[in-house]
Order: sequence, then C-alpha cells, then structure tokens
Amino acid sequence: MLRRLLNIVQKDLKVYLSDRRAVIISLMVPIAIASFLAVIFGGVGGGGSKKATALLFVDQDNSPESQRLFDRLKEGKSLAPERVTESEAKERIASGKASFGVVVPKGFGAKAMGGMMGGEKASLNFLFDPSKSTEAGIYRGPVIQSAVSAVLNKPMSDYPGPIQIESTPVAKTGLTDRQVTMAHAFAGMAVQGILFGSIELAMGLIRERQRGFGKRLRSAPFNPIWFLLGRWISGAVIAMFVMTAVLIFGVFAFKIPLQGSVLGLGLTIVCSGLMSAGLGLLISSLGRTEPQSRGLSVFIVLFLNMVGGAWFPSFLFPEWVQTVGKALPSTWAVNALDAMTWRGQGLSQALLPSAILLGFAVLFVAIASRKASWEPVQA
Amino acid sequence: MLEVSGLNKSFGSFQAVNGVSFSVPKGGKLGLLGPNGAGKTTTISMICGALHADSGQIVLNGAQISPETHALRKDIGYLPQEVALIMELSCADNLRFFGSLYDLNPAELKSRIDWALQIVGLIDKKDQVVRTYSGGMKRRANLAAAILHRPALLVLDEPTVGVDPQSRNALFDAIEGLCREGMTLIYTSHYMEEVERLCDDIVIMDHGKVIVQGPPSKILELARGERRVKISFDPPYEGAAERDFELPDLGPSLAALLNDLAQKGATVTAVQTSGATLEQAFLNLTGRELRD
Repeated sequence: MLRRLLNIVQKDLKVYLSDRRAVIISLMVPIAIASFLAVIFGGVGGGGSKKATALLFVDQDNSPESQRLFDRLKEGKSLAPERVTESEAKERIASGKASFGVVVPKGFGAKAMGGMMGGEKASLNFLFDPSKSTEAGIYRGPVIQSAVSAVLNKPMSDYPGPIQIESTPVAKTGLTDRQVTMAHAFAGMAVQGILFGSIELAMGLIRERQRGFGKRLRSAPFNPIWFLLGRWISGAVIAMFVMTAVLIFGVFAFKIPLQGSVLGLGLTIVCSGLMSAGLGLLISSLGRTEPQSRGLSVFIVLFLNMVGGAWFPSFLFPEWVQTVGKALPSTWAVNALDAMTWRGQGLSQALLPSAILLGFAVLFVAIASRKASWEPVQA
Repeated sequence: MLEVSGLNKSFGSFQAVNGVSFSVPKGGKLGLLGPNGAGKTTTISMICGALHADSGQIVLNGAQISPETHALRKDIGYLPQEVALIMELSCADNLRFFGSLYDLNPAELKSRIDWALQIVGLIDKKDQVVRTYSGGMKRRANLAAAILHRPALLVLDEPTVGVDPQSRNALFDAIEGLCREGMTLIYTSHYMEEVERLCDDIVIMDHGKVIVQGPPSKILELARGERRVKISFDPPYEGAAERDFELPDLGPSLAALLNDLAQKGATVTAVQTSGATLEQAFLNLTGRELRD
C-alpha cells in the first residue's frame, strides 16, 4: 500500500514539475509580492530615506515660540510643516488632499511656559483625517515633543522634558527595523503563496473527480482514501518547496535574517505545508463543481491571509480581530516563521505553532475524507 | 462470470438505472446498447465499483462487488468514456502509474507496459507526452491503461467515440485480439455495427431499463416486421417510377405483391430488398434512433 501511496505522490510531483512555466509562476508570485512589500515598507530602493509626512501648520500666535515650533518640526524630518491658514488646512484635510495639521492658537507662546510651571496650560489643536486615526496617534508624539522643545528653547537632541524616554528595539542585536519589516513580508508572502497553492490543489482534485481520471481511479483496487492521502503528501511537498524557495530568495536578495533555529524553521515549513495541502483537500470537498469551490476558496484564503497577518502585522488590527486570528492556522504559520527568522527564537518556540498547524492539517484531511464525494453528480 | 440482478441507481429524483439484470459467461462478449441517457454508463460504473448502487447485486466470479470490495476490482479493466490519462506525462509514465495501482512489481510492470503498447500499436510513441497525441492515439493509450493488469473482465464504455477510422480499426483489432485470448468483454456503444462485429450477446437498454437481451440473431427476429422493398416500374405505375412497400417477410408476401402488381398492369423492372438490421430492431424496441 505504501508503494501505491508513493506512486501517487511521485505522479503528482512529476505533473507539477512538467509545466516549468507554472512552477516558475508559483514561485515568482509570492516572491514578487514579498519583494514589493519589502521595498515599500522596508525602505529599500530609495536610499533608505522615507519622505516626510506633510503637516499643515496654522500659526495664529506668531510668537517666537510658534516660530521655533515650526523650525523644530522641520528639524525632526518625520514631518514636513507647511504654513497655511486654518480654513485652508481644514479644507485640504476634509477633501483628502492632506492628512494632518496643527493649529497654534493665539496666546500659545505666552501661556506655554506658565503651563509648564503649573499655571494655565497652553494647548495645540491637532487636525487629522479620520481615516488615518492610527497614524495620527503616531505623529502627535513628535508634535508635542517639538512644542516642548520650542517653548524651552532647547534643541531637539537635548530633549528637556521631565521624563526622558529611550526607545530600544527588542530583537536580536544587529537587526534594523528595515530588516525586520522585510523578514515579516517574506514570512507573510510565503504563507500566502502556499495558501493560494491549496486552491490549485483543490481545483485539480475537483477536475480529476469530474473527469474520467477520477472514475478510473475509483475502479482501481484500493480505497480512494489512499488517493486523498497521496494528494495530501504531494501537495505538502510542493508547498514546502514553494515556501523554502520564497524564504531562500528573501535571504539572498534582501538579506532577511535567519537567526532562529534551523530545525525549528524546517519543522514550521513542514507543518505549514501539511496544513495548506490539507486545506486544499478540505476546499475540494466543500463543493462538487469547480465554480462552486473556487469562489469559496478565494474567500477562505484571502480571509486567512488578511486576518492571519500575512499582509500586515496583526497588531494593527482591532483586538477582536487579533483574537479571531489566533484561531487561524495562517496566524500560527506567520508567527512561527517570524520567530524562526528575525526573532531568533529556538526550537522550543516552534513546537507549539507546529503542533497546532499539524492539528489543523489532520482536522482538514479528516473532514475532507468524510465529506469528499467520490461519485459524479450524474454518471 | 458476471451476474447483475435488480440494479437500481437514482440521482436525486432521476432514476438512471431501474431494475437492470443481465449476465455474462466467462469469455462472453456482451454489447450494451442504448441511446444517450439509457443508463449504460451508470450501469457499468456500478459494475466497476466507481459508483454505489442504491440496490441490487453485482456478482463477479461468485463474489459480490461494491465500491467497498476494493481487492475484487483487480479482475476488472475499465475504460471510461473520457480519456482517463494524465496529459502532462508520457504514455509510458501513465502506464507505470496505473500499473502501480494494481500492485504489479517493477519487472512485471515493464513487460506488461510493452505488451499493452504492442497491442494498441503505440510502442514507438511510448515516451511521447500524451497531450501531444492525436484523439485516436489517446483512446488507444486509454485502452492500454485498462488492459495493463490483464483483467478477467474488460469493460469498455464507448471506446471509439471521436476516433478516426484508422485508429478505430486499430482499436478493434486490439479488442478482438484480447477477446481471442479469452477476456470477458462488456462493450457499450452507439454504433450497432461495432456491437455486431464484436459481441455474441446484446442487451438493449432505454430509460434505465433492459428492453431485451439475447444474441444478435434473436434481436434481428424482432426487426422482421420492418423489411422494406423498393420496386421500380417502366413505364411508371400510377404516376411513380419507384414505390416503397413494407412487408412481413420476403417470401410469400413479396410473391403475392408482385403477382398483384402484374395483374394490375404494372411492369416491374427492379426489386430492391433491405434485410432486417439491428438499427431497425432498436428503433422497433425503443421508438428512438440509437444515436438520439
């Protein structure tokens, strides 16, 4: 029986490799998207410099403090202040032509120092596009920091606030945030690549079932479950190949760091491959025709990729989405790849995610083998 | 060899096979005839274990077969209507794959592949990718995959559909050769002449039921009522140079007709008769053309 199983696997791998153009496309798509994400989010290709975000600056105070605030913001480089009137600022933000602005109200300079000493506080009005509330939170900090610096008339490098905040990236030493961003992009796209591969596996199975080939196999002297298991293994091997190729490309082309356990990484790849191939079998069992399954599978895979953090880091999502994400295999696959690459974790950190991925794989195959219809809709 | 009794199969509210029963002795050659939708393919799919029967029995060499009795299927070679091959692989690779499903060891498999390819006349093209084959070559390769394990019962579901005359002849020669070796055959077709040439027993199906089973001679008996005679006149008789008549037989009835025509002053110059055919028998039995 084992020989039959191996023959099914061997046949599928031969078929996969027979179309070299399709093999290249299956590798190039995740590599191209990961490279694109690495370039736009990792700052590659522009000398590492990121264009400063425009900040509309409304100076109603015209004091030395407000002038210094403008200068400090300009020095900070993350924001590019531009002097405008309040009505112009509001009109441009409301129409989407700008995202952020700050209004320095009349009397700001006079009140500011007193406020620091415990008197009436001076205030600034931060204007933002409501569709960019997350980024607004990020940019409010530099504005406040620049304001304090301007009021005390001290340089930004010598931030004179009562509490000094230091920022320390907590990752393996020697990694830049750019490398981390790129490594995450490749982990996400490697997972996305194999999940899209599971759609192809599912469609291939449905086509085989509908055509004479499936009927021919059903008339062979063995349980069709073995055929399903053969497809699972071959699908997993192909997924492992795709995932490995994407990561290797990332290592050589983008220098993504492989600082964790190699064994752990291997285990993650094997279990992710088994999970995605199992998902393919499950999808193939959910519909009896290709159009029925294709629409459903695209939804499932896009959902797994998006909520699983393959596109964006999951911390950007609301808490309830992050909770849902913990129940998805894609989340565990991406997190395990992150752990074994740029987070530099050991084998022990790969065990739980791998066990969960394997659990998903077995669950998917079990459901698929129960639900899979071996009979045509009509002979 | 094969006993099929009371076989039923429905797809939703559509009853595709309704109480089908027939038998085939060892070495027998059964032709299963019927128009599209008659239930032929559903019936043989159940025989081959590719479909569950709702009820009824299929007994092969004394053992009841069903989709769960996997081991019994190694005695059956099944050629589905569609080309059931992996287009991306060579013919030899396809046969290696199918052979491995029947637990043939590598040495045995190699000789079986050569044997099967010789029979279907593709030995010189065995390393060619199947996708590049002509339609007829694909059908022949399909047959090679079905006979590779030398089954006792060979079930062929319309193997010549869409095949050019040359490949059709090659397929026929191959099938006749296998029959001479003692293989039991079930052959479904739309083509009456194929069944007449190959089979010693015929089952006619329509609307999921067996209409009649018997040797070709018995089926022809049923067509007797449809014998036609075309008679030519010179000069024309009652304004017609030719007239068609339907007669119960070509003996006394034809003599009586000619006598009657002579008495009425008609000058008969030619009499053309057409004998009973299976096509006519089919039309008589089902009220439909075979290729409907």
